Amino acid sequence: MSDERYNDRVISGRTWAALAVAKQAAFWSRRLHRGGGEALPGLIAERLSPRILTELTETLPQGTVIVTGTNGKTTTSLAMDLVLSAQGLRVLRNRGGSNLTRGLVSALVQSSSLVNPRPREDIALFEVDEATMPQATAQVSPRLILVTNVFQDQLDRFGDINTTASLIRRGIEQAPEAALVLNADDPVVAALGRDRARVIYYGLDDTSLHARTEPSIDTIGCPLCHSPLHFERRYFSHLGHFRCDRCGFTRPRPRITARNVRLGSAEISASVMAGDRILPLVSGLSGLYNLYNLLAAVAATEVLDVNPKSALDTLTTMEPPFGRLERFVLHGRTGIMHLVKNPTGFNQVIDNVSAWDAGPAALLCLNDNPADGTDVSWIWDVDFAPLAVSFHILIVSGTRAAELALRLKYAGMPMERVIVEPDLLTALDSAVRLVEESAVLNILTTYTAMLELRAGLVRRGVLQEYWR
Amino acid sequence: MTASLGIHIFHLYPRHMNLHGDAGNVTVLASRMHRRDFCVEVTQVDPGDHPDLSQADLLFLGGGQDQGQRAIAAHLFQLGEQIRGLVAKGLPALAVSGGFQLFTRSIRTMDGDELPGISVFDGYTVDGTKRCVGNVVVNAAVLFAAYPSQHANPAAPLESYPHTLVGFENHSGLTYLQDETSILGPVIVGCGNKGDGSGEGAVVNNAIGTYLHGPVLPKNPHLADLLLSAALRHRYGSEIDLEPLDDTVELRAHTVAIERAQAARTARRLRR
Ligand SMILES: [Zn+2]
Repeated sequence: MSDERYNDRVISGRTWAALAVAKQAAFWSRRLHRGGGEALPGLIAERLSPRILTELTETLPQGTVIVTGTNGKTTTSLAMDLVLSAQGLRVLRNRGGSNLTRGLVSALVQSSSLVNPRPREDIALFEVDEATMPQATAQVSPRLILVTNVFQDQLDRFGDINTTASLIRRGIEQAPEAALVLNADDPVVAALGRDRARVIYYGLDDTSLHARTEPSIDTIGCPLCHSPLHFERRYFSHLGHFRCDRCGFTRPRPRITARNVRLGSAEISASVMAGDRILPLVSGLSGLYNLYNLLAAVAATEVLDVNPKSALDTLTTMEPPFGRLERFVLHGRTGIMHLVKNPTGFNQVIDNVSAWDAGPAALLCLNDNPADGTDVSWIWDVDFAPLAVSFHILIVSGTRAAELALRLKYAGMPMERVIVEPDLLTALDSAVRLVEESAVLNILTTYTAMLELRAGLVRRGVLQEYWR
Repeated sequence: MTASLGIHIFHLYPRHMNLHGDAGNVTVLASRMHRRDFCVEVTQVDPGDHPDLSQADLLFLGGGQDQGQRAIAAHLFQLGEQIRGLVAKGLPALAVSGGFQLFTRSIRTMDGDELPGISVFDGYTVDGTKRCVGNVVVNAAVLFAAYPSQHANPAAPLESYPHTLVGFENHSGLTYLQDETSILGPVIVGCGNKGDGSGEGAVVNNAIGTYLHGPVLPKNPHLADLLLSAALRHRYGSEIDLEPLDDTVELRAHTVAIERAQAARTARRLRR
């Protein structure tokens, strides 16, 4: 076992004591429902044992990975988490957006026990704010640092792009052995890779994609000589294929890159070039920025010995975690809410619920608020025919219930078997009554309709509020 | 109605030009004919094919991204002269979004490249600076007044159908028509051809171009029937009545689409 060499890493008595107190603090902070419950134990532990972060991360058999950059840290970390977990690794992450160093300590505190203070995970995956990078690498020696992008932060927390970049650079310089995974299309990020031994770049290589608007606040010059950059192609903001005519600084050649990109209202497909291999990427996420996040995760996990094909296979099913699938009991019937947001996911859910012992009725909810996508045309790419066969009655609800009814008509569902009730909770009550006691009611719903149903169920005490 | 009557639909480039469920339009056309006991044949045309367009009673071309447009532009251009000739003789056509743009004289992309169009509509398309995205409502009263024949059946009087067309637009290209009166109709909600909320789409004889997707025909059954009437007229040279269909569900979706478009517009104004 490669674990052996980590067994000599000694957890100091001081750190053990700090853990004990921090665990107490975590317990009481949860009991008292105090805000910031995640950061408090970390704060205490850090005070009591300044070396706690160093000591605990050094015991991880697969080391520590740091993900930083302005946008995409959480999605990229989640993607990496999924890929690594699918390989059988136990992954420790700092959740809940607490990505100051004390958030990292909190995550470690939660994961270790007093009997065995070593964290039980194999690898730590830390999201670190750009400004915290110098602190973070002063305490942790990561084996890999991933930088997603550097944009002007809307809250103006760190100042301009150059200030942010220099903070990241300081953090990177303190970790000379770390492999770097960098966005080749972001000049500021790409410049971080100069003079480094191990750098892997990712980027886009699609001739059909262009930024639709001129960059505004993110207009940047060459990070090396500050003269204007020439963009042969710009994807969005300052991401693209760039070249400095004065000093010759140019976009590095990425190892992981995407072509044939197709972006749907809630779907991404592309051909990923990984070295000399061409692999299909299909994702239920949306937007070019999420494609960058997926490529980042593929590039980074390849450095961690996961082959890109396995990574892409795992990422196909990746969805934002909140509200994906939820059960509740209402009037003695079990309701199951399935979040649907794109044709691929919708088809999967339909296949799934139709294959089960389906029951007499199902509830379909379609909203067209911005978070659902205001364009509902995507439902015409969904195959509803299995529902028409499996369920006797379909109740349709939401702001676009009428559109769903029309879609079902073209899927061969007789309109006598469709009930249109735009009000979500009224529809839920009708649907529940159509299901026998102890049977299951399947609810297929878009995002804001799910939130509204949840809120109604919370008011009735059927569901608990999300504790996020 | 005798089952021997029917129409032949040519679906142009379904693999390259099918954004936002546009293929659903062909499903609607076929379904509305089948329910009236007409036969429907659909021929799909791909780049490299040699379609016999003289057999066509209706052309359909869906939307596509730059990529799709580039892949088919040259092949479509070769068919252009024949299509223009057939449209002049009354062949109905529906071209949506990116397909609509290719039915104009040319498309200038953001690169400054120019893609040739087939000039069914006298106008041109250029890349705009902003993207037009949102629900659209068009007043198409003039269009439907000009084509009263579809409502010749007393069971489906004109009054039972709206004069509006509804759909969703998502385009950065802007289309400028030579003759402003050849629009499909003035925009009630949305951006339209030029992005300025003036006019939407284009009509020449029985050929219709529009930025509306959704797809456009399910929620606008009166537009579907207008095209189908023209297709029968093109095929048989005389008026053939279309039996009325139960469009309750269609028209409810139409009404809700108008309400949602107006609600979104109100919300936008309040934010300003
Ligand atoms: Zn330079």
